[in-house]
Amino acid sequence: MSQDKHNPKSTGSDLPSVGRLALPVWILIVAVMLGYRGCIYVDNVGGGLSFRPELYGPYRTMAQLDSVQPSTGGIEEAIKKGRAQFSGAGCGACHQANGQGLPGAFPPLAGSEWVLEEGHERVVRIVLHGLNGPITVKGTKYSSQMPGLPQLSDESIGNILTYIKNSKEWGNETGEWITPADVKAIRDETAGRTKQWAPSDLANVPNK
Amino acid sequence: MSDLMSQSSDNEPCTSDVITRSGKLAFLGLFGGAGFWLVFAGLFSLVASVKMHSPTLLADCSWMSYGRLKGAANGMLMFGFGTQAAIAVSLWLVAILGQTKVRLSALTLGLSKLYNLAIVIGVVGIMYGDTSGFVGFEFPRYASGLLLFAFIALALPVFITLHNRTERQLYPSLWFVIGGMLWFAWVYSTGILLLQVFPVRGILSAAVHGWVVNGLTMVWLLPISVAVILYLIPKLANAAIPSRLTAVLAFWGIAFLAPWGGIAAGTPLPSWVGAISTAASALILVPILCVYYSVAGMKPVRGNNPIDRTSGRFVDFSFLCLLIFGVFTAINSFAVVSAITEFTYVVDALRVLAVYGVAGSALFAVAYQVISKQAPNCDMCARFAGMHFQLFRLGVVISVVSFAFAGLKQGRALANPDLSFADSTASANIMFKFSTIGELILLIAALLFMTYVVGMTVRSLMADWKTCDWCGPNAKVEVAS
Amino acid sequence: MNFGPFIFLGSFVALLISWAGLILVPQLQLKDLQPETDNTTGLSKPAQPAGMALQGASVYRANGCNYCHSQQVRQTSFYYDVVLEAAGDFPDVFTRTLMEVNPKWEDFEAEMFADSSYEGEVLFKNIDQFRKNYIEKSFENAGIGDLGVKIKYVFRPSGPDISRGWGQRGSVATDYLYDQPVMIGQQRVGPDLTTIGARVPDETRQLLHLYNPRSVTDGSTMPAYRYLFKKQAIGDEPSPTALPLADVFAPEEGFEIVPKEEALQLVAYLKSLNVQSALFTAPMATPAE
Repeated sequence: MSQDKHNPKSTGSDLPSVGRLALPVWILIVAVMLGYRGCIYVDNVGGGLSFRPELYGPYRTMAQLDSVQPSTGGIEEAIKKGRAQFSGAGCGACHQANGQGLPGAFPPLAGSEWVLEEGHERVVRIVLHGLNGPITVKGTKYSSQMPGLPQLSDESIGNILTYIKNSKEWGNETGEWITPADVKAIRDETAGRTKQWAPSDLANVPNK
Repeated sequence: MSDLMSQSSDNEPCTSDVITRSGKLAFLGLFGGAGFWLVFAGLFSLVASVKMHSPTLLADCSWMSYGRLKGAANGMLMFGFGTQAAIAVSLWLVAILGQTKVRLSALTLGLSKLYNLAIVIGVVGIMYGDTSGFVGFEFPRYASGLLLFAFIALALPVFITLHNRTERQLYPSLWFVIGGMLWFAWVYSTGILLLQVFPVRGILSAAVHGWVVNGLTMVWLLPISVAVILYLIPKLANAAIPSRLTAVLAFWGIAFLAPWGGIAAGTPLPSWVGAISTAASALILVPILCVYYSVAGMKPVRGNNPIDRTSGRFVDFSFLCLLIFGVFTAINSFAVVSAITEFTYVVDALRVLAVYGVAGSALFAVAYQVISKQAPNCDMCARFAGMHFQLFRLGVVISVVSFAFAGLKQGRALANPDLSFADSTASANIMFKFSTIGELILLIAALLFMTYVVGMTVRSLMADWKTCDWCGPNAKVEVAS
Repeated sequence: MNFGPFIFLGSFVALLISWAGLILVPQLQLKDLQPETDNTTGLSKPAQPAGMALQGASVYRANGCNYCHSQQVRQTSFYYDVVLEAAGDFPDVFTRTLMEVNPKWEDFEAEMFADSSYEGEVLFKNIDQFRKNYIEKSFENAGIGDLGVKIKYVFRPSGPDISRGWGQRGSVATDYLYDQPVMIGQQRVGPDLTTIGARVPDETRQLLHLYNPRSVTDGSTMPAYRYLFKKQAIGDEPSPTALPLADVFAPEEGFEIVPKEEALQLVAYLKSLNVQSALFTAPMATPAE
């Protein structure tokens, strides 16, 4: 850069100057009013200082958001858990994840009359102690046997059966909810049994 | 010695005119580019606006589709015109208020060509279909990166000139210039990084987009406009800003409050984000009131010569638009109002008000001050300037008012679920037609400005040629003996 | 004193604060946002776009559709309806309880319970949550459960967009999880498109609308997107994807309009903008039984 060889404060300097008056009060009043209104607004609309990332739109507090959630009713929870436990307990290995079973080997659960039948007495017994003997499902005969799963907890059995009976993907929509208490009642009733059920035995059990 | 050949005549006292002329290459280059892009932005906006009235116009050409025209127009207006002219204004302000000659003027000219190249690449990219998808930040990655590089390079002469100033005390306008240049670089680079290079996920891109687009107007164009207002109005009115403290509050108010705007209260982000953004937008009124207090009552339109009067009118208009903008932004922050104005033409009204009304006017005010000194003046030139102002003001007023009314009618119809959607567009249609007229007038005004700049550039070149020792008619030719 | 560096530093800090507040904190809060799972179907909500729909999003972006269309449903509030499902065994007692809760309920006749036509009777409509809580508490205190009365509280998000049928609830961050870029738009020169796939499922209608909006919607201001289609001579027989245009808009004899790949992708994308699903952050209306 070339050296500037001119006067620092040259003649003809037309720099405007700045006065020394103080800040006018009315600006401060407006600032305070707008600031106060802003704080109230953030408090009302923005969920205050909680900065919750789950709060959107018209919901002002987490309590309010929780209060408007649809009541899941136990059945939704049970279906959700049952879906996960279905594969975890190994049911899908035979009945397949899509509930279609294996033709000739394992009966399907989707659309099966055994599943859609109202009542849970029979299906709980099947899961607890297994099934041995020829059965007909959706017009096809199956003769393999199913082992019992008494080691599963009452809750697991309840959830899995609720899922099987209500899985929308499979087209099963019975609306039945099999609670752990239901399973426990049947387990107590059949306590001591180790033998698998034969279909003819189950036909004698009233399915309520 | 011709001005083309040297930067400093050592014996000249450093008056404003000398300082302004010392940056001739830089100013003519930057303002010339700005004017060029303003014309094209106006043209593209006009064609896009006309397509809404006549939908089959240019329907067979993908490059001329409505979305691409609007995207290109936005880019050309904000970056081609707004940013480029604002750089020129910054350079001039640091030189004038630092009482030193402009540094690196020739380099700035070259860099402005690079900057314009980036804009060309960006516009072509948008029209080809590579638009980024973010309204107000449309340039594709390859163009925006180059633009950022060119901007940072252009910031060098500004800061070098600032560093070499002889008047050490910083006049308030320079605070806004320093802040503005830093803020633009940061905001724009954030946009590139978080939206294009390492894109953030999901709705966060909407948050970044809102912050960036708000930043481009509120912490770049707005501070530069305020810098111009705080300098030119007192200078042309021969007055002084009454209170340094108020100017301080104006600057820090904008610094801490203005970047928070940009996210509407109803955005699908967690509600605290929109609420804080809205509350801060309302508070923007406070620094704007400080600016009002600083220059209230001054009459910059009583200058001695026609160019000074035109500059005065422009900067006065910019000040008026700034006040309206501040008041309206504060009103718009109320939920009752924004429920009506969101998603309507009111967005366009505010855009025209901010970019044309506030920033454009301030930039033109300085442009006339700067360019008129680069060549001997003429009556015709001054008349062009006067015509430009009248048409420009008319265009802005028509555009803003028609967009605002169209938006309000549209908003009220949208908020009433008994009316079908078609009713809302139909109710806004007439006022929207007026806005097309506004776009046309703004285009003509841009053409007038470009004519002035080109004319003065030619006059300046001719004047230099006439006085050129070795090239012009007075060139001394050595006679071989 | 040279205030230059001080101003530079102060400007830096000021922008840093707003950057931290509007970009950093939301990023920290939302970077791990996951889609929710539907309880019954097991599908993720929102569904991840794939194939043509994903390419269509790119066409949407490239043609600047978001300059006129928004993709956000706004919800201003929510309301309840109180519905009577079963009037129970003691209608007189219940009627008295009802009038205590709302003395304006004078027209309520006990005879209404004579047959089952009362089922589904809306007792209170469009009440806010505060009032709903009060009513619920009053009923509980009156012990109407012992009377065999069953009350259902129907929850409904509300707002002009919802009343207009543009959506069932307000849009939240999870809805945009897979959008890149998020094209919420700034203007509603055209209608909101969040659920356009459900409102206009017919692909042919969408294509006709893109080719010439006025052929489908009278007086539309939307520009025609003819370059997304090609005009070709009709071969031995008309192409299966040719547009069924009305005479006024059709090309001349012997020619047909066929959508290009981009048009089909765009329509696939629009179809994917489907119904909204309930999320924890954005509950939907209680479904009608």
